[in-house]
Amino acid sequence: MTVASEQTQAELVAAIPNLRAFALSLAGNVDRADDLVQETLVKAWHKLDTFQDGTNLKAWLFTILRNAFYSDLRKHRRETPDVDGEHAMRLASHPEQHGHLDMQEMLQALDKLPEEQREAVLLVGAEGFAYEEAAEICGCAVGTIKTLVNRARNNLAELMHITPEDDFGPDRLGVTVLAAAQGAKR
Amino acid sequence: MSSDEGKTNTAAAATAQAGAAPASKDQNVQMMANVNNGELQPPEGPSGMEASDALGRQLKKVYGKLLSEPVPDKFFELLKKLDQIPPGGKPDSGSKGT
Repeated sequence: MTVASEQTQAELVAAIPNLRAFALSLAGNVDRADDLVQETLVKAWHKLDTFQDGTNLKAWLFTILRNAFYSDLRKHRRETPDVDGEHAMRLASHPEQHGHLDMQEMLQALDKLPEEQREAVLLVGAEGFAYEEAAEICGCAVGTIKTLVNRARNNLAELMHITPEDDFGPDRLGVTVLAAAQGAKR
Repeated sequence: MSSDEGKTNTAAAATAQAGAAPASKDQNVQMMANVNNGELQPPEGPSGMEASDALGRQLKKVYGKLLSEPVPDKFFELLKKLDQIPPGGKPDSGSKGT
């Protein structure tokens, strides 16, 4: 018997990789992250009648996941006092798959960010949520999210030694070529 | 892992990717629109803004790697189980968690 609409099913399935990535960034290990995603799917399913069609299902799921994470954290803080200790957003499996030095560098830099900055920059900068959506997910003001994203960007740039004079990444060549082309035109 | 599981995994990952695809397509369209409108300024030389754009691209690239991780079968099994109960219905004892 199929009771949920096929579209909802498809949207839930499509959101799983995103939920896992976000959960991993919160929980810091794959097993914990996957538990969190399962918990989120179960909770979402039982609350699906409260979800308003036409609003953002992914943002709604992210909110449920985040709330689940922090309520579990509060519950278990006494049992696992080290929970605020080492955070490792590394993927437990196959680190060699992510072998690019710049990727490792980015993951390590993300690890070093304060939790709320990492969360904000991932929601907005990586996941592509609007500031308003990210604020809704985190239960804070839009201005707070903007501030956190800016701080996170500055910290990441510093951690990865990106200075305004030293652009990096695949576009470095493009910028150089364009600059040269512009120079030639003059 | 059995070979069957492997197959499901691949199919599942493909489904998830297909679901995620429209967003990036939209971004491309958006970017092209910017180019067409002449809104995308050619870089005048390295600036702080470009550095942070590069940072954004790098972040998306790393995040994209996370998104491309295959989804374990347990999630599809869970959704199949959940599909047996009405959305918004009471969880029955056997279906909560795994």
